[in-house]
Amino acid sequence: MPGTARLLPPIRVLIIDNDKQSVSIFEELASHWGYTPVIAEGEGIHLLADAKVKAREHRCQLALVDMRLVDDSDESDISGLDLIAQIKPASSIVVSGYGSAQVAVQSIHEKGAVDFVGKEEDPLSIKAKLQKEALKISAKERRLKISPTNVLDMIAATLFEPALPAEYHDQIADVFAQLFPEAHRLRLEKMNNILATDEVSTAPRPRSVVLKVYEDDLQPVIVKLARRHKVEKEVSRFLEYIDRRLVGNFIPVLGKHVELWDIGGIKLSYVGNIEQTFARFFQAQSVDKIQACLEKFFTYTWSAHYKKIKKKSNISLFDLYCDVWGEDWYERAQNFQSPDPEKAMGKNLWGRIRAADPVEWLIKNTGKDKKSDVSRVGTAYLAVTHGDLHADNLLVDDSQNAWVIDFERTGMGHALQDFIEIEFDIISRVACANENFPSFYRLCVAIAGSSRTGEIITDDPQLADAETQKILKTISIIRLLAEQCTHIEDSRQYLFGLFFNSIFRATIINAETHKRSQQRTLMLASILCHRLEHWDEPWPPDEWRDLP
Amino acid sequence: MCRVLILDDDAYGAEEVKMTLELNSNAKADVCVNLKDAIALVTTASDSGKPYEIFLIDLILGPGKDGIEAMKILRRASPDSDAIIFTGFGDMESGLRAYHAGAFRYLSKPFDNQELLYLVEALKEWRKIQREHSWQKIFGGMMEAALKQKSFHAVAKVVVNHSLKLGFERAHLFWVPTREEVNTGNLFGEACAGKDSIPNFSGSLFPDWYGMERVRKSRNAIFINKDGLNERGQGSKGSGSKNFSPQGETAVLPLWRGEILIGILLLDYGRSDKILSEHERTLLNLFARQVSVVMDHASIYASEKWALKEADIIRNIVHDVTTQAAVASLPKLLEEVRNQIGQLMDVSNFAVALLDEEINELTFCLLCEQGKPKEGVRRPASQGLESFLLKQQGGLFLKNGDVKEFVEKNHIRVQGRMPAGWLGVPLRVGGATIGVLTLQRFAGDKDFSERDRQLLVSVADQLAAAIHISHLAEVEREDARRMQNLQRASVDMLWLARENESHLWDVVLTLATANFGLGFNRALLLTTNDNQRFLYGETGIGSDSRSDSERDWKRDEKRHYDFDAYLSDLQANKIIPTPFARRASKIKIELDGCPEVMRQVIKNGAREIISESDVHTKLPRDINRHFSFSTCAVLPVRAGKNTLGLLIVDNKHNRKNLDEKSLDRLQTLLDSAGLVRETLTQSRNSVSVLEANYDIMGEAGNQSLKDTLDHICKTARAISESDWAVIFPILPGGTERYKLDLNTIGHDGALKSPVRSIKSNPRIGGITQHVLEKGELIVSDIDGGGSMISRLNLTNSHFIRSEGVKALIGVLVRDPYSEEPLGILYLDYRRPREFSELEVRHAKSFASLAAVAISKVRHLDEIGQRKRLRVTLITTEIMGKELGLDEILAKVLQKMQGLFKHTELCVLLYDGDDHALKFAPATLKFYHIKNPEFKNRQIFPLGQPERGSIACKVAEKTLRTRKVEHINIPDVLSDRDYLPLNPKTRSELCISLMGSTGDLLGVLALERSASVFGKDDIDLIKTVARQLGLAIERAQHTERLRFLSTVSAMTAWSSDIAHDMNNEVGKIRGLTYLIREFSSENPKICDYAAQIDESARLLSSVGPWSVQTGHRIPLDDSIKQCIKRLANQRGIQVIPQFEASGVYIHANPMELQRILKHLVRNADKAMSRLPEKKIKLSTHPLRDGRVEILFGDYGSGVDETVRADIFRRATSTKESGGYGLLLIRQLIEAMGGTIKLLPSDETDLGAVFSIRIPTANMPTPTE
Repeated sequence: MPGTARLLPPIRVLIIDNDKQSVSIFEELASHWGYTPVIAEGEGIHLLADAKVKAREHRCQLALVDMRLVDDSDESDISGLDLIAQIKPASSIVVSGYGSAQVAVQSIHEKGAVDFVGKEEDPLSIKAKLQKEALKISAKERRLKISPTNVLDMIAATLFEPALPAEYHDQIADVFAQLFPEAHRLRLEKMNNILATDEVSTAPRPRSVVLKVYEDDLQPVIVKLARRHKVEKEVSRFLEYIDRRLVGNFIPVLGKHVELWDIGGIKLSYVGNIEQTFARFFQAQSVDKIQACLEKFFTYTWSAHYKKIKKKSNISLFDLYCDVWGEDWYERAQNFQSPDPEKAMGKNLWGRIRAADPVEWLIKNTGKDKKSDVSRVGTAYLAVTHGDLHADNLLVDDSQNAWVIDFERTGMGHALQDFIEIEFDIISRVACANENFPSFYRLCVAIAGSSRTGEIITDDPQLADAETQKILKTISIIRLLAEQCTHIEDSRQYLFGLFFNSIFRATIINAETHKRSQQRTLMLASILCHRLEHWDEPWPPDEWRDLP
Repeated sequence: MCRVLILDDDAYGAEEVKMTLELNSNAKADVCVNLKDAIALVTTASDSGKPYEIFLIDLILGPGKDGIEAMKILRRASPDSDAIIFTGFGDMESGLRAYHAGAFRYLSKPFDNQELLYLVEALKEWRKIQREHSWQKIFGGMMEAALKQKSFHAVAKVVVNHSLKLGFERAHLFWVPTREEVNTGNLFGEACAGKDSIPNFSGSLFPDWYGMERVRKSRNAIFINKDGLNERGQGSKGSGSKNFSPQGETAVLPLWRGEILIGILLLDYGRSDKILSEHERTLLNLFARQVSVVMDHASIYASEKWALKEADIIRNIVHDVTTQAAVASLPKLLEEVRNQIGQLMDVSNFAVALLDEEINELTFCLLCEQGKPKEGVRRPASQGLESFLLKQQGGLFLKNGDVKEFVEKNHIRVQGRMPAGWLGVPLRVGGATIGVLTLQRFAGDKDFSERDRQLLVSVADQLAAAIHISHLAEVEREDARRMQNLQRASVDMLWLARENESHLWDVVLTLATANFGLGFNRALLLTTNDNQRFLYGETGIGSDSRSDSERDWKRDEKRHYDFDAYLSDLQANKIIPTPFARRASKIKIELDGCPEVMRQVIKNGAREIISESDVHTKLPRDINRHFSFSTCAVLPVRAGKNTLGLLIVDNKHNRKNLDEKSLDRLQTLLDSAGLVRETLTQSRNSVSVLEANYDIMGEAGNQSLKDTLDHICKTARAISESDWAVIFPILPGGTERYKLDLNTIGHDGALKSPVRSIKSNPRIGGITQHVLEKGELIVSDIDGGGSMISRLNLTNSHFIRSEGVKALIGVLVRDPYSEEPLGILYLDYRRPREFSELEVRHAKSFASLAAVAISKVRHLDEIGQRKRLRVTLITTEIMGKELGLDEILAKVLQKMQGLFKHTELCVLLYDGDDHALKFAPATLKFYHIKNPEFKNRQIFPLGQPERGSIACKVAEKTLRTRKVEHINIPDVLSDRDYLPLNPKTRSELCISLMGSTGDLLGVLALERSASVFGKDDIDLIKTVARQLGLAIERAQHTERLRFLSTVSAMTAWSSDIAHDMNNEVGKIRGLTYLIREFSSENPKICDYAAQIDESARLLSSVGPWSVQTGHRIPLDDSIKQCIKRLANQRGIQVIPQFEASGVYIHANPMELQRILKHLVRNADKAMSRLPEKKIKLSTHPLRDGRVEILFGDYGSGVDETVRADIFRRATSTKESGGYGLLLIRQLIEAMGGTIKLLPSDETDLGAVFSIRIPTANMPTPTE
C-alpha cells in the first residue's frame, strides 16, 4: 500500500470515568476496537488533574468522558463536561448514565463535546461514535494520502522537540486531515527553507514550515505549520491586523486553522499561482521586476496601515524594538562574546577604522540607561507592521505580486521596521555570503551614508561587483518606498533599525557554522554605530577613504 | 443601464442568461467563463469608475472551483457590486453559504427566465435603496457638520468634502456674492476638494463661466457630459477651465436662496467616465437643496458678523456718554463728562441742573463749586441766571465782567457769590428744555473762549440726550418694578384677603402710596354698604404732615423697603397705622347728601379728578373736616358692575402730577381688589344661603339628586312667585358640547302640557345656549320686544308658546369651585314682570344651592371612585405578595370584610368537571352556614331547576354569556332560587368571577341582613370581582407550577437512580459484548451473553427514567391482565364492570400497571380495618373521545380538608410518602388524561377516582 497512513500508530483514546469497573470495560472495548486506551487515574479532583496530564502526555486525539466525575449524586456536578474544554484538542465524547436529551445538548452545544452516548446503550453505538469522530480528525483513519512523505519527516524534524517520541508525529498528518476535511490526497511542496543546508537561513531553528498544498485536483493553497501557540498567536494577529485590513486582491485569506497538541496549521488561500519566495525571486529577477513587486506590496497591499501612522515624540527606538522582539534579543546581546575582530576583518581593517564594538555600543548607548538612550531621534512613527518581513515570508506569484504570510509578530511597531527587515534580510542572505570583502565593506559604507531616508548613493565606481550593485539598487528602492510610505525623512531612525537588526542577527547566528556571516553582520553594526555616533561629521571619515 | 457580469463555465448557459437580461431588462451583460478573465474585467471596470453592478455567478465553475469564493474575490475587486449565485437544484446549503458570504440572493437551477428577471429587478431596486440610504446618510452628515461650523469657508469645505463621499472624484464650490455677478456670469472659487482639483481655486475669479446661462435658468441640477463640456469649454475664458476636463459626467448643482442664485456646486468623476443614474440625479437635486440651505445659513451668519463689527466701530466712535446713559447713574455720568471737559478747560465751577416743571424747581444733579461737589441742592427755577436761560431759547455767554451788568439789567437775583463770567447752555430734548449746564468764572479766573462755548454747546447736546435716555431708562425701570409688584399683588391679594379681609385694603393702599408701589402721597378708602346709601371710611394711608411723610419715605428708601418686606411685616402685624387710617373710621356719609362728583363716580364707575380749588365743594364736608386734600383723584372700587366704594388719592406733599398712567394702574389694582372682595362676599353669601337652607341640604344626603332639585325648585317657586321652576343638570364630562341629564331634572309647578314634555327636547337650544354663555337671561316681557327677544326667537319657543310664558329668569348653575357649568335654573312667569335686583339675587342663590346639591352628588360619585380605587389597590397588593389561592382569598376576603360593613362574603369556585360550585376552602373561615339543614353542604351543582341558589344562577348565566354577570336580590325571600343558608339574610348579591380568557372561575356572594346593595356597592363589588378573578386564575397557575416543581423534584431523584442503574446496565452490556466478541466460537456462551444483554436492556427501559414511549394497547385487556394479580396479592376482591372493549389507548403498559398498583395499594390501606376488602373497577367510553376508568374502594373516603389538595401537593394521612398520587397524576397527564377524586356525596363508595384518557382507536378498516 502506498502512502504513510498505515505506519502511523493507533489513535489514543483517553478514558475518564470515576467508576473503576466502567473504566476497565471501556479500556477493554477501546483496545478491542483498535484504539490505544489511555486511562485517567485517581479520584475526584485528582482524576480531573490526571486526565489533563494524561491527555497531553499521550497527545490523545479522542476522549470518553463521564459527565459526573466527582459526585454521582450531585446534580450540579458537571465536572466531566467542564473538562472537555481543558483537554482540547482531544475530541470528547460524553458518556453518561443520565440518558437525557438535555444533557446531550448541553454537552455538545455548550461544552464543546463532539458527541454524546448513554451508558446503557449498546457498546456498538459507542464504537460507531468513536469511529465517526476518528474519521474526522485522523489522517490515518481517513486513509488520507499525503505525499511526498519526506516532507512530513522534514516538518517533524523542524517543528517537534527532539525529545518527543516519534509516535506523536502523527499530529502533522492530522493537521492536514483537519485542514482539508474532504480531501483524499494531498501533495505538498515546500516553500521556505526548512532545514536548509545553505549557509544562509533565517534563524538557527526555523520556527515554521510553509508549504504549497495541492488538495485533490483543486487549486493549491498555502499552509503554514508551526508550534501550536504560534499558530494561535498568528491567527489572532491575522484577525486583528490582516483580515480585511490589507488593500486589493493579493492578500491572504485565512481558510481554516487547526491547533493540535504540539503543532498547528493555518490554511491561507490566494488568487493566482504562487511560485516562489521573495528570496528566490530576488535572486532570479531584474531590479525592475523587484521594484515593481516591492512597490505593489508597500504602496498598495500594506498601504492602509501606513495611512494610519501614529506619531510619538521622545520615544526610544530601542524600547520600540524590544516591544516587538521581546526582551531576549537584548539579553542575548548582553551575554554575547564578540569574536576576535582582527581575525575576521583581516589586514587589520578593524583597527584602522577604529570602529567601536557594536554590542558594547548598544548596551552603553541605549539599553543601559534610559536617560542616555540615544535612540530617541526625532519623532518616532508607529504603524502596524508585519514584524517579521524577511524574504521567506514574502511569496511572489507568477504576476510578480507579493503575498505576505506569517503574522505572528504583526502589530504596532516602528513604521520603518518592515522596510529595514527586508533590506537587512537581503544584506545578510546575499551580501554576507559574498566572498568579496571590499564589496561588502563599500556596501556597508554606502547604506550607512544616507542622511535622508529615501536617498542613498548607488553609483560607487569602485563597486564593480554586479551582485552587490543589485543589492544596493534594491536597497535604494526599499529606502525610497520607506520614505514615501512613512514620510520619515531623517535616516537616523532607519539606521538605528538596521543596527538593531544586525545585532539581533549577529547574536543568533551559530558562530561555528556561520562564522563569516556573523562577523560581517557585526562589521555592519559597527559601521552603523560609528555613523550614528558621528552623525554631523562628513561620511565616510577621511581615514576610511583609502580602505579597500 | 445596468452593468452585469455573468461568470459561468458553461458558456452556452451564460449567453442565454445574457440574452434574457439584455432583451428584457435594461441591462448590459458581459460573459466570462473563468475567474481570471472575470477578475480582469471587473478590475478594469472598477478602475474606470464604471464598476459592474451585478455579478451572476454559477456556484460550480469547473471542478473544485467554487463560485462563492470567486464571488468573494470579485467583490473585493469591486466592493460596490452585488452578486447572485446560481446553485444546483435544491441546493439550499450552498445557497445559504452564498448568502452568508455576501451574495444578495441565490437562484437554484434550472430557473425560469422570469424568475431571473424578477430577482435582477429586485436587486436593482435594493441597490437603489441602499444607495439612497448611504447618500441620505452623507447628506445628513453634511448638514450636521456644516451647522457646527462657524465660518463660511469652513462650511464650504464641509460641503465639498462631503460631496466626495458621494463617490465623486472632485468637487468645486463656486460662490456668487452679488446679483450683478450672477448677471455678468462671474463666479468666485470658494472651496474645492478631490484629487486634481483646480489649483488656487479658493478666491479665484472665474468670469463668464460657460455653464452660467443654463444654470441660471434651472432650479434643478444639470448634468453635462464630456462632449458638452469640451464644446462649451472652448469658448470659456475661465482661468481654471483648462484644468477642468472631466471624462465622465459633470453634475452642476445650482444653489438658490429664494429667487437668487448664490452659488454652484460642480461635481465630477475626474478621469473616470462614469455616468450618473437617474436615481442618483434625483438624489443630487435633494443634495443641492440641502447645500443651499447650509450655505445660505453660513452666509447670513457671515454678514451678521460683519454688521456686528461695524457696530463695534461705531460704538467706539460714539462718546461714553451715550453708551452709559441708560445704565450708569446720572451723577456718575455727569462727573465723567465733567472730567472729560476738564481736559480742555477749567471746570472747577460746573453745574448741571434739571428742571422740575411742576414745582418749577431746578434740581442740581451736579454742582461743583470751587472744585468741590455739593449734593442735593435745589433752587426755584425762577431765580438766578438759570431762570433767564430757561426762558430764552439759546445759551448765555457772559464774559468775565459782563455778569454784573447783565444781572442788573435783567433784574436777576443771583444766589451765593456773584461770578465774574458765566456760561450757560440749556439742555434740550425735542422742543423742551429739561435743564441747564453752567460754567462760572470768578474774578481772577481765566476767561472763556469762543471755542469753550462751542464745545459746551455740543457737549450739552450730547448730555441732553444722555440725560433724557437716563431718565427714560430710570422711569422704565421704576415702572417695570412697580408693574411687577402690582401684578404680584393681584395674585397675592386673594390669599391675603382670605386670611384677613382687612389686609386686602391695607395692601391696596400701601401699593398705592409706597415707594415700591405707585407712590401717591396719600390715600383714603371709603366703602358703601349693600344698598349703597352710605359711604363708610374704611381705611387710609398718609398724614397731613409733609415732614412726617418725607421722613417715612426716606427711611423706607434707605432700608430698601420692598413689597416682600412689607408683606412679612403685615403678616407679623408690624404695620403702624398712619393718621389717615386712624381717622378714616370716623367717616360716615349719606350718599344722597353727597356732592354730585362722588355720586357720579359711584354710579358710572369712572374716576374723577378734583382740582385743589374744587376740593372744598366737591368733596363731602365730612371728609374735608378730617382731611385736607390737595388736587386729588376719586377712583371707584369696582366689582363687575357694582361699585363697592371710592378711593381718594392725592400728592399733596411732593406736588407731583396725578398722571394718567399711574391712575390707570391704580384703577387696575382697585379692580382686582374689588373682585377679590366680591368673591369673598359671594362665598360668604353662599355659606349663609347654605345655612338658611340647611333643611334642604340636610335631606340631600338621604335622597336622590332629583328629589333634592325638586325640593329646591319648590322653594324657589314659592319665594319667586313664579309659575314654574325647573333645574336642568348638565351631565359631567362634556367639554365641547353640553348634555342635559334628563333623569335628574328637578321641577315644580303645574304645566299645561305633561311634565315629560320638558324631557322631550333634550337639544340645547338658543335660550339655554345663551344662559350657558352669558350666565343669565332675564326677560321681563316676551311680547315687549327687544333685540335679545328676537335674536333668541323667544316668542317662537315651543315651551314658551305652549305654556304662555311671558317673563323668565334663567341662571347658570355653576360649580362654586371649578366654575364649571353644572346646570341651568329657570323661573317662568305667565305674566310680564319687572325683576328687582333682589329677585335676581334670589334666583342666583337658588342656582348656587342647586350647584351645591349637584356637585355634592358628583363629589359622592368621586368618593365612590376613590373607594373602588382603594379596593383595587388592596387586592392588587395582596395578589402581588401571595401566590397561593388560599392565602390570596383569605387576605382579600379579610380586607373586604373591613370595607363592607355588616356583610357576609364568600367565594365559590367553579368545578368544570362536576359542573358545580364549591366553597373555596379559605372562604369557610369567613362564612358559616347557620341553617342546620345545609350544615354540610359543600357543593352546589348547576343546572338545578329550582332552589339551586342565586350563586348558581349567576354561574349559569355567565357560562352562557361568557361575561361578568351579577344578580342583586333586595329581598331574598321573594326569590325562588334563594337557598336559605343563613336565616338572617335579607338581601344578596352574587357576581361571577372570571378569568382573563372568559372562563368562569367562580362566584362571589355577598349577603346582608339589614340594607340592600345599591348601585355604588355593585360597581365596587364588580371591581373586587374582577380582581378576584385574576387572583384565582393566577393562583391556579401557581398551583400547577407547584405541582410541576414537586414532580420535577421527584424526577430528579429518580434520575439519580437511573444514573446508577444505567451505569450498571452499561457495564453488563459492555461485558456481554466482550464475551460475545471473544467467545464467538462458542455459540452457547454467545447465547447466554445475548440473554444477559437483553435483560440489561429491559432493566434500563422501565421505570420513570425510561425514555421509552408508549404504544397502542387495548385498555380493558391491559387492565384485566394485571389487576387480578395486584388484587390477589392483597386479598382484595375486584368488582369489574368493563364496558370499553375494543377501546385502545396510547400508553406504556408498565406505567398503566404502575398506576393501578398504586391505586390498589391505596385502597388496601383505606380498607385496612374492614373484614372484607372490595374494589369496584369499571371502564366505559365517553362521548368526547375519551375513556373513563372508575376505581372505587369501600373505605371511609378522603377527608374533606385534604380532598382539594391530594393531586396538588404531597399529602398523606400516612406517615411517609404521599408523593404517589402526584406521580400518578403525572403519568396520567403524560398520557393526555386527567385524574380526579369524585365528590364523596355522589357515590355510596369510599374514595372514587375517575381517570379519563383519550382513546387511540384506529379508524375501522373498511374492506
